Amino acid sequence: MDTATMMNMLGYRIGDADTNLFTNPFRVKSLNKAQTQMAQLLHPNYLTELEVLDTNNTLTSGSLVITTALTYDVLGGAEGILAVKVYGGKYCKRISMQELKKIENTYYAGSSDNPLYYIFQNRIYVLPTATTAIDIYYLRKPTDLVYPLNADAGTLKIVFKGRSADGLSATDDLYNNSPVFHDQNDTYHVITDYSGSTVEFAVSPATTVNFAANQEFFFLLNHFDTLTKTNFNGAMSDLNPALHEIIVSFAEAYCWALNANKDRYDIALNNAKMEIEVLNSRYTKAQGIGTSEDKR
Amino acid sequence: MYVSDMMEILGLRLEDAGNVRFSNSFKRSILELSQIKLSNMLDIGYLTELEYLDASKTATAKVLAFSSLTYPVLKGKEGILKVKISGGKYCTQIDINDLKRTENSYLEGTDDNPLFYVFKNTIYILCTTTNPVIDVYYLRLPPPLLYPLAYDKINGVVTSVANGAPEAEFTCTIAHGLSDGDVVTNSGFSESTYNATGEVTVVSDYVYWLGDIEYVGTGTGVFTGLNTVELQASQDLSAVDNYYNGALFYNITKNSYHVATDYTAASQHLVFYPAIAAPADDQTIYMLKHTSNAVEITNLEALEPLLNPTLHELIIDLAEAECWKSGKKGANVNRMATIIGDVFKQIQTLNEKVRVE
Repeated sequence: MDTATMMNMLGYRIGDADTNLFTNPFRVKSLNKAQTQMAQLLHPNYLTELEVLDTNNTLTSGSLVITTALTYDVLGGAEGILAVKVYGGKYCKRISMQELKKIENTYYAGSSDNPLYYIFQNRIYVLPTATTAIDIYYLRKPTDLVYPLNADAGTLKIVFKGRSADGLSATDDLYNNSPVFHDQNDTYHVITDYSGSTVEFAVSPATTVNFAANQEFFFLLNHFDTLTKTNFNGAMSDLNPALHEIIVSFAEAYCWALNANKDRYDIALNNAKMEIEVLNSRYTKAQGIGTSEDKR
Repeated sequence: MYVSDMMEILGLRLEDAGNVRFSNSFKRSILELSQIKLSNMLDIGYLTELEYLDASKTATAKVLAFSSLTYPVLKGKEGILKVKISGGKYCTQIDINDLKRTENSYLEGTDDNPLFYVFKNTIYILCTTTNPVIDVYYLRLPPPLLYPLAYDKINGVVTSVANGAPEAEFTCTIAHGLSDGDVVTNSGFSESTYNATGEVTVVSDYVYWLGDIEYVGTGTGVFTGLNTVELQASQDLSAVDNYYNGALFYNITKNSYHVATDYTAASQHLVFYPAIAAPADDQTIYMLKHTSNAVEITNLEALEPLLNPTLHELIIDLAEAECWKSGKKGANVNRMATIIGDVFKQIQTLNEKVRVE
């Protein structure tokens, strides 16, 4: 479900198809909040789209600040850090704050052969402290959805301009082959060329009415196409398409909360939570290798 | 159950048989959403129709992205059911937390003991071979509830060129089947002027002009539809010229989007921009959207959801619940709550009675 469809679905659910009660910016904000909340509640096995590996992160005195060192914001705080590996070395074993006392014993101390890490105050601490760089496997926050995008006049009927402020990519051709809907002209187009430096979209077919300033457009994507969603500027949620409806349910609940409709709020929230419970209860642990500790 | 039947049953349940409150397009999209939602919550034991084997995929540097698979994966990591080295052994799935264990040489991945894990929508193989070829068993997302319309390419042989004063008249010995406005490419002519792409003007069943190409001499060649294809018969297509103009299409065969700019009902010719690359016979497209015509419900009386027929009723239940949510005043919270409660109970019962874990 692309962002435009989510917005429409949210509109009819809250009985506000004409956006009188809740503006588009508010709805987008609700959807963004909703997808983060849902991702936080779901078992990570359903969130493979949010997994990231940042390699060769430099440590200062054996630690780094998560918020500044990593490419993306981490989902779920320390829980979002899935694994840490010494760059070019071994995987680190995670220890809790309670276990710090234990490492005073030299047999348990962190070493290059037995590296350890713990997380405290938004920092990853690696032992031994002489470790210089690490790879970090983590869950990131979902990319914010954007809707709609601003359009300006381009070359009459075949090119229109986007705006960098909307987060459009500087990479040439990134959006090529994607369908878009131009709101004011009420027309569908396919992007045939994109210039990252001028943020201009060449489209086919040409429109019959010239593109003008201060118009709007949005991308249309479907789960069955193979267009890359990377940096697609929030045209579709990063999460698996099977989870998109739950996002709308959470967003619906936020809207009902503001509208003081407690019944609808409860129902929307409960529906979303029930679905998450079903999913979390069906999670199957990977088979794994070797004997598990509790079977020794 | 055909999708059109599901839409009608849904209409009756919603006391909206006349599609006054909910349009057919709306019902279709809600049913489509519901089948995905249902598949996501059901145990895989009930989803054998969604199982798919992508065989002999090369995992370059032991890595294979989900995007290299034929279909999108349902349930994320949970949707990858098994990975096997092609012609070799099955891989044991490990969790990211188990990676530490693979540092032990007795547990590390080898061709004899291949392992895999899923991370960032990507399958990572741990084995000895650098670029292993693997078979991936997975659950695919249910296909959309859109009818895959079949089309053929249009082409023909031009046996002579005559002077139409001034346009060149391209003459075929077999009726060319073209319509005014079709966009075709001429090729193979010794006069290079004729080897061009343009809009057709039909002179007769056997003769056409191409754009405003003027006569420069005789010749022979072929024409091929570049932007134009012919939709196959019996697909419940509109009998109204230009009905699909402006509609957004998705080419399933080519994985590309196109917008229709001209439709001739008699010949069922559709002109697309941008052009379909190398159109051929028996390729398929989805009609996705149109600003005023419900093109996405075309021929749904010939389309069934891929899921097992015993689950179709549950899809309707979920769709009905979704519809009852609609609106502030029009919503029927009680009916919605009752149905959704029943659906969750059914799903729970089904999931609990799965025999093979």
